[in-house]
Amino acid sequence: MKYDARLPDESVNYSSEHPLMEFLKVGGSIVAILLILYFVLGWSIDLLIRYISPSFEQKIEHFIEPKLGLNNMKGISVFGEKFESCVNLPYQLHIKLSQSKEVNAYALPGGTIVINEGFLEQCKSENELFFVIGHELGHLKHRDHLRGLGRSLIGLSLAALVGPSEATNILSESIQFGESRFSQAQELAADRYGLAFLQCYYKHVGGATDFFERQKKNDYSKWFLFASHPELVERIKHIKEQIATNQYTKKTTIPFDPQAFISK
Amino acid sequence: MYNLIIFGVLLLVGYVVGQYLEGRHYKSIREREANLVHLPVTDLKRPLRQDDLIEGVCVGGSVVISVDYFKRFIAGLRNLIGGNVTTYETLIDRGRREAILRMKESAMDADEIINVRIETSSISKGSKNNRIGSVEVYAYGTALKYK
Repeated sequence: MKYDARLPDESVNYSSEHPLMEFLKVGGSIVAILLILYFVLGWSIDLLIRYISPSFEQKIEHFIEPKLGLNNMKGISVFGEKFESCVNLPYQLHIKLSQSKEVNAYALPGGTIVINEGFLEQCKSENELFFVIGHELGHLKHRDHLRGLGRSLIGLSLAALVGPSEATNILSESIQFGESRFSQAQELAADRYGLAFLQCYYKHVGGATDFFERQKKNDYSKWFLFASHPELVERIKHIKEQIATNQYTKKTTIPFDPQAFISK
Repeated sequence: MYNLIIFGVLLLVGYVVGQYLEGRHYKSIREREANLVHLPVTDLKRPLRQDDLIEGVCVGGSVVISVDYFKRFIAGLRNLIGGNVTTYETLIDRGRREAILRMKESAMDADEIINVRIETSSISKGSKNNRIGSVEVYAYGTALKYK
């Protein structure tokens, strides 16, 4: 056999397509699919949410309960005729105290509100506490936790199906980003509900913004687009606007005595 | 947010540096291939000539080439939707050609190299999410010297 010296044929083993074109094509189609999925999911969840009964919500809560150790937490007692008359929820409400030092409070599906010790320490008046309780009641009333759960659950299950990789990390980051924007609107709506609750309970809205004004001095959330609570300045402004629109009045607040509220 | 920015920067660096290094490597490959084209390399079991042989030596050339961040990201996206991972094609191509060149370079005074085989294996270092992926290509054969 005669040997014929030849250089390799370069056209066969790799595509001449430029990598950036590949990036645009693949990236673009994935972004398009994600956007479509996200909006379709959003609409369908909003449609379906009215069919989720309170008893089903409580079943969900039973999943979360053992993880958070809710049964071991002390209760916060605020109940009485005045309170019941201002609350309009289809299920039994529980308010618990968590030992966490983080300045936060949150609502769980099924009618549980958890308030952190860290928050109580910062609280100076009863009215502030009740505003926050009202705010969380707003979340429960609007079923915000279910909406947030629904969207991110579906998004994260998709990511879980595909398996961990840079692409799915970006996917979950983008969903989180979308979620935080969505929940900023929800937070403002919950603020409105909290204000109305305060007005119902005390017949005035004094103290609604006190806590936030104090926190404003410590606020760094300006820098974080992902923050689920909108910038404090925005929130204070919104609350003040609501007070003006609804012509609420402000009177003196009642100093806060934690022991009066914590039950054994 | 910061994560997205870091990710974007990594992609850009991976792309720019990766493309540059790949271009440079291909240039070197083509030059050396032109210089060594006179040395036959076949996968046949028999020598090309019927002449007497003085020497037969097993020779091999190996190379490890790593993937850049940009290529890995696109391959990850392909994981979702499927199709040709064209970004990896140049990687494998370079690996094979470089391995064969190094094999040739290790047998410079041979007349031909027969029974050439190529083996590829992937080398991964790091945890599940943070793998540093590289590919090792090893080309080996029998270098023959005629009288």
